[in-house]
Amino acid sequence: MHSPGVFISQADPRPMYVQIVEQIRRRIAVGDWPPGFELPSIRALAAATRVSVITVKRAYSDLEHDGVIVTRQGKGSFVAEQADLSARLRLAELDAHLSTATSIGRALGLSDEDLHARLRQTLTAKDRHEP
Amino acid sequence: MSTAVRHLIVKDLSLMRWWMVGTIGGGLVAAWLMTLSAQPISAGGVLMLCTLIILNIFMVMGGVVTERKEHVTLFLFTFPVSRRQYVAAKVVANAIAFGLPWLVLSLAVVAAIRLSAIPDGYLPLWTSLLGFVFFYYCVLLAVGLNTEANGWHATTITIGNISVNFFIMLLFGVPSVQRFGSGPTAVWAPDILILTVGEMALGVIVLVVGAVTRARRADFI
Amino acid sequence: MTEPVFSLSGVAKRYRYFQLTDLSLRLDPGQVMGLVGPNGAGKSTTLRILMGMVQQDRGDVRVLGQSMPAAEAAVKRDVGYVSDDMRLYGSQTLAWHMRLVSGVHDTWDAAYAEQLVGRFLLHRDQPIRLMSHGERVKATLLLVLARRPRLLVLDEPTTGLDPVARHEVLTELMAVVRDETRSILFSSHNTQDVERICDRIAFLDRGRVIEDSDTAAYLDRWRRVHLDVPPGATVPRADGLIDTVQDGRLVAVTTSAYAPAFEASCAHAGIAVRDVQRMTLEEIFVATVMHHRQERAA
Repeated sequence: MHSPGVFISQADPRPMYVQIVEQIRRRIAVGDWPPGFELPSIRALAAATRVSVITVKRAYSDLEHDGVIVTRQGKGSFVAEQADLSARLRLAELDAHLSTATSIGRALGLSDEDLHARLRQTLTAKDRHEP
Repeated sequence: MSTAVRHLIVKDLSLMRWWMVGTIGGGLVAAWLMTLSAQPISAGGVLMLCTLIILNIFMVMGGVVTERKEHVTLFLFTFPVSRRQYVAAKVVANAIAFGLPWLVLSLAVVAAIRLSAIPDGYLPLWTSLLGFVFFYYCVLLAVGLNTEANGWHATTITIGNISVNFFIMLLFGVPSVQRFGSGPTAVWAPDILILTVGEMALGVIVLVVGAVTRARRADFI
Repeated sequence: MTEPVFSLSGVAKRYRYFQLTDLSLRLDPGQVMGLVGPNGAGKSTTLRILMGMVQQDRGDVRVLGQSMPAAEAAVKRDVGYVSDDMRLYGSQTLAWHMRLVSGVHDTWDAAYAEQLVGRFLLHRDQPIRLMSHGERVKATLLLVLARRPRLLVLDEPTTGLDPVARHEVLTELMAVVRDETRSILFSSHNTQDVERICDRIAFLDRGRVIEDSDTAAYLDRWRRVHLDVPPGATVPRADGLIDTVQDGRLVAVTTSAYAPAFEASCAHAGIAVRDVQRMTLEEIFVATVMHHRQERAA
């Protein structure tokens, strides 16, 4: 069976299971893993990635909790059958970045209007460079 | 005998085979040299004793002590064998590797005496002398099994080598050797028989005690 | 409850200058356990007791359901052991050793052994004494891996290996646990390896088990919290407090039982939380050992 190596960086301060979750979500977001796709077994992914079984287990259960994958007892884990899953994951990634930007804005004491203004400014600047 | 034990024995014999062959070769040359003299202990006789003693030392130091010192035992003891089986395999293999050349060369000595000008009356003396070499081997193996301290090995080997000389002197003082040594036929008087059987039995006892002590050690490695 | 692959309970062993005290550990099938401890903590002795090579003074040792060292011969059929001080016959080749081990163990997988020779870039006909340290370690591991034992006991398997060889070895070890009935226990100074591949970790210090937990949960509990403490404010007591270091207004609090509630109580006391850092196993290990030593000294 095809078992991809997920890359785990020990320089990444995030826990290893978070890195696995993120990389699997990305594969689904770009459409490499379509709905219904069978994921590698926990032990196969652990072996391919050289991380503990328990770490992969934790990543899978997080993905399941978020509704990204479903696990059928005795059959394996599959990408959830949702037509808009890939789009939803891409938007979720954007939302995560926006949320970070908002927190930084708040920490700098910017008002909501200021934030809106800066976002519009960024958009116009982008349009000018990439018409 | 379990498969693992058999493999341990075969492995040791295969590692020792050239030593066995070399010893037999060297010993046969010594036996031929013995036939050139009419003296019971000549250059050939001394070479014969040296050959057997060198084999003794190499068997114990090379086959037992080095293996443990260099942590090869750690590898071998991962085989599915108990302590008792491991020690038994070691002793059996080593005893064959020493015993076989020893037996062949003992027969060669008998032939050399019978075929040469050396009076047959010295056959009991030589038998007892070869018995002493066997005893020496048993003691050194028992020591080698139980300690990796160089001091003990050096002490045993030094005492062993020197006592061969004393033992030869002692043999010439044995009444039956004095009386019948230069005679044309071998006379197996009780004094020389007791000495020969006694030294060999003592050797076996020392070896068994040494092996049992080793096998019963709580910390095998 | 599944039967553990091994269990040590109340094991004690006394030497002249060192003792193992009341050691209890167990491992479930399909798991990888890392045994971490400073030099002289008793890791090797523990592994040798498990293998029946050293006999405990007290306590019960069971491996694959059988009592050790009484059942040593039978147990060693299904257990593989490698330690960094183990040596092969220097004068003999790898092929000679492969023949020896394959004769002794009927579980020997000749095809897998050949694959490993290739993957580890070894030469079958090279005498062991002409191999580099890394090649010797890989040769020794090959002889054990190709037997496909149910339990692998490895004493410092990656010590002295270069990063590439370490990568190769860890890859093969992880391939072992594809099979959920096989387990690994290994000791290591390399906390990165342990953090990465172990489901469970056990810390040993001066002959005692000072921690035995699920790796992920354990790493998750530890944090170093950096605080900015204004004059007059007192830092609230954190659960599982291990260490507090103050440098002017800045205070670093290390805790082994982090909860977000701590940040709330800091805010309540007028203290700003600058940063909450996760810790590596190495940092946690050093903090744990130092903390235990201080506690025992007190």
